[in-house]
Order: sequence, then structure tokens, then C-alpha cells
Amino acid sequence: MRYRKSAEKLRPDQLKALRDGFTAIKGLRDRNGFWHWAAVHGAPRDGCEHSLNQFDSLFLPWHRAYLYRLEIALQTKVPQCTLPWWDWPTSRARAIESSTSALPPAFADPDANGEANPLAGSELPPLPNNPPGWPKATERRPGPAASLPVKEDIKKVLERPDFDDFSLHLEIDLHNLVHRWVGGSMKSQVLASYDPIFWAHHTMVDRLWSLWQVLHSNRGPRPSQWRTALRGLDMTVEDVLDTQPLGYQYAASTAHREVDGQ
Amino acid sequence: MSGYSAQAPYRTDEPFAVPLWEGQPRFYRADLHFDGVDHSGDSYEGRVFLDNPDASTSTPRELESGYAGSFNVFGHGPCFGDEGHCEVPKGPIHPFDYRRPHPLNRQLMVVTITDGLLHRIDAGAEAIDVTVVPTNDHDEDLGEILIFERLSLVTYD
Repeated sequence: MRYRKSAEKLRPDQLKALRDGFTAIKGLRDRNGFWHWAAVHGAPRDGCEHSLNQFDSLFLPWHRAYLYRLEIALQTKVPQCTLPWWDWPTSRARAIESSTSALPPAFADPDANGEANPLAGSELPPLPNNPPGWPKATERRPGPAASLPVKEDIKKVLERPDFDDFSLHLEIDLHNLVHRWVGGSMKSQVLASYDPIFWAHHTMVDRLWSLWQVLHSNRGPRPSQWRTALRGLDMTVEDVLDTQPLGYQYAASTAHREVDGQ
Repeated sequence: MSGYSAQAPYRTDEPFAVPLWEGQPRFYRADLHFDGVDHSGDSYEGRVFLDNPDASTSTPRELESGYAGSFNVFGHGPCFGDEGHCEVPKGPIHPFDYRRPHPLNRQLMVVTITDGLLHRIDAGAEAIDVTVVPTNDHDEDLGEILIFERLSLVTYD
């Protein structure tokens, strides 16, 4: 079992693994590469699921499968790499207190050990149809730190007992707000997944679904949705109802002791 | 299609009657449902105000100003596809078309306004007007970006 950690609290070895993983898959041009997976959400494949109504949303299952597929690609290159979650309230509080960016430093710092930080942005691949206006690289334009969600905002969403209601408000009250807040590429559905912060943002969304599942003893999507295929991901809703069969859990911190002779 | 902007916000033509019983609220939760919200353009926030037709981007987000909540639209952004890529089909092209709906089908946005509505009732309101101001974190002119088909007040008792 692997544990996904807060992007604000990564140990140096965990951050190095994350950066090594992104550097490695950014260098691939096949179906294990970063560009391949970024293109599944946005341009040119447009595979992502966002709520159109209150009763047929695959928003949470689709993005859980999507994170899983990218994390597998990362771990193929760097086995100890896991996706971190962007704890919006913690980043907000830290930024206000210290007058720093409300993006996690792991993703905001332009440099890492003397080289370009692979989590600070990404180049974009050329598209076959060469559309006008297609950018060469991601960009960000964050809003004021105070506009990010606070813990009370998250609590209000987690308290909603009905899954459809929870999912819709998680999406439009928190998820959409943070996409808009980061600005630049992140505020565009077709470009967002090319920015590495997208993956930490969605890992937080997935973590909140996981917390909701524990709080309400309910996995969420209704059985009639379980056999639905998740566009472009070779998985069904049923495959992603629980995180443990996918090999991960969420943890605020972990500590381990190796036992001799075991 | 024309829409509503920060300079010309959406305002209800007729007020919604508030469900009351002997002057007291007959609900424990109240939502505004925005059906058919267009999300093909930029991302934005829709700020919802009750009984404040002069609300603007500079109006404080406080109960006293009528602020009742916001919805956030994650916009598709520019179309980088070929001709027809962003045209939404009316439905399946034939009975054997099992594809998921086109991503640019209109969306539902729900804003829970319970606290804001109770505040207006405490002030004596028996009906409410709704104003929606589209904006973003940089207070930019987003043009006529707020486009939707229907607004409903839904209460639960």
C-alpha cells in the first residue's frame, strides 16, 4: 500500500521522487508519457467528465481513474513516486502568514537544485491541425490567497449526505473555484491537465471523495453506474469505487520501522 | 447568443415567492438551480445576491448586502479542434450511438442560499429578487459570459 501525502509536507526524498517521476515521463513521447495523459483530459482528446446534471455525474470516478493511470506511469519510472494532494486551506493560511505564493512551493518554485522545476509548468505538444492560438507552454495567474477555500468551506461540502449532492458541490464550489483561481492554463478545460499543479489539485478532490466515503459509510455512485466505462481510461466506475484495490490511501503522515528478521 | 455581464448582471423579472407558513419559513434548505449554464468560454464566478438589484463586483459578500453564495464555472476555453468540434449535437445520431454526452452540453449549477434567504425573511421579505454578477479574481471584463436557460428556487422541508 502506498500513501499519498500533502504537497505542503513532502520530505526531501518524496519531493525528489516526484520531480524525478515528472521529469522522466515528460521525456516520453509514447502512451506512458506526460503529454499522452494530459491529452486525454483536454485537447485534443476531450475525454474528461464534468457534471452536466445532478444525476449522471462521472466526475469523481473518471478523475480517480485518471490519477491512477498517471501515477502508474510515474511509478513505472520511479517506483516510490506518489501523487501529492494540494491542501488548499493550508496553502492559503501559509501564504497569508508569510506573504508567499499560495501554490505549494514544490510546484511554485521555478528552480529545483539548480535546474528548472518540472512541477512549475510544462511545454505543450504541437497539435496535428496546428490551430491558431495554441500555446507553447502552460502559464499561471493566481488570484489572491484569501480567495482559496478555507476548512469551513470543505466541511460544508463533506457534510452533504447524498452522493450526487456532495459530488456536484465538490465540483462547482471547490474544484471549479480552484481551477479559476490558478488562472492561465488551469482555468481552461482543454489546457489544465498540462500544468503539473492540475494533478495535485485533483488528488485533493479525490482525497475529499475518500474522506466522504469514510464519513458516510457509502462509496457513492449508484449501482446502475458501476459498469459504465470511463472514457479513454480502460476502467469502469466499479474499478475505482475504493482506493485500496488501486494500491493507495491518503495519509497526513506515515512512519515505518523495519523489523530485523522479518 | 447574448448573456449577462458584470456591467449588466442578470436580474429576475419577477420575484420568487418565499414559502412561508404563518410568517415563518417552511423549509430547512433552499437552493437556486441554474439550468442550462453555458461553459464553452472562460471560467468565472457567478455571485448571487438577494434583493439587491444594484449589486456589482464591488458589493461586499456579506448577508447585509444580500450576498447568498456563488457558483463557479470551469470553462472549456478556446476551441482547438477542427470545424464542428465544439458544436453540440441534439442527441444520439442513431439508436446505436452509445457515446457519452458531448462535453459542451449545458450544465446545472446549484447554489445553496438557506442562510441568505432566512436573513431576508428575518427582514420581513415575503418574496425575493435575484441578481447574479459574473466576475473573476482579477475583476476583469469577461463580457456577456453568463448564459443560462432557467432559474428555479427549490426548497426542502
